[in-house]
Amino acid sequence: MQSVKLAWDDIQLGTETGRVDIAITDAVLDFYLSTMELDIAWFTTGAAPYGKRIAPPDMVPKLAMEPLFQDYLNGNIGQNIRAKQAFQFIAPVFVGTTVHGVGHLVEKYERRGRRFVTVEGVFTDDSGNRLVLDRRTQMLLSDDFNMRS
Amino acid sequence: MQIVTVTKTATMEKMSQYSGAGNFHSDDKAGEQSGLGGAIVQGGQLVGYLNEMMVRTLGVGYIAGGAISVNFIKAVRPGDTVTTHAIRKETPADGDPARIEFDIWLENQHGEKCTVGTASGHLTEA
Repeated sequence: MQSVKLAWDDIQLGTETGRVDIAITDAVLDFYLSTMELDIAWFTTGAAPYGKRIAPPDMVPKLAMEPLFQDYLNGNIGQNIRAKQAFQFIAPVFVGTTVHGVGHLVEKYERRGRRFVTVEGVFTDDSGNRLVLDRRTQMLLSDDFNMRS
Repeated sequence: MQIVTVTKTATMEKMSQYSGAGNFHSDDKAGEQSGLGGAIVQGGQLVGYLNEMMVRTLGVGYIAGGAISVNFIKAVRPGDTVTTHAIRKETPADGDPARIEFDIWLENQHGEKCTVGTASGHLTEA
């Protein structure tokens, strides 16, 4: 298993973990619908009241997770696995738009001999309106952080 | 309002499609090397199934105004079939009478809970 760059005490709350811009295209949406075996009309055809295709609410966080969180976590803290996940879906994400995301490390804690970090992502449209909030807690897998080993 | 449950089988093909190839969400060897005992389904994929249930149940009241919070308590493996479940709570979410909340969970084919939590949204015409 890979070694880590940061010691536990050096993990700083408030660190920006990444930024990303995601173009929501028909092709991106179609691939996600296929992957998730989703056939809901709001996503496939743009049924009323939207009149235009929208993304499944969890699609943007999925597309963003590598540049927003995982590139930082894997590179600095090592392998990790999701322990908790929370989303708030504020407004629909339409095809043809670009979504902007920024991630931060907001919490770290120890529990039952394991260490965890929590990261938060905020996704906005071109006008800065919030679309989706993403808060996920990752259990650290590296032996450097496994207090049981 | 009728709760619409969702059942999916987690194939390695779909896991690889969701998580990419060559990692512990799509490769048994990588999962073994990470101490996970083989490949496991990515949590986001499981939350996606729960979100599908909530969208089918609450419609636009979940797409714009929905919230979900879950814990992953048991790994889901390739070949497992999972089903989402929800029970409506009696009290409104966040003290808002227009907002309804559910206890939600995802079970595997053995009836074991794998992901548990809550979800909420507005009751609208789906």
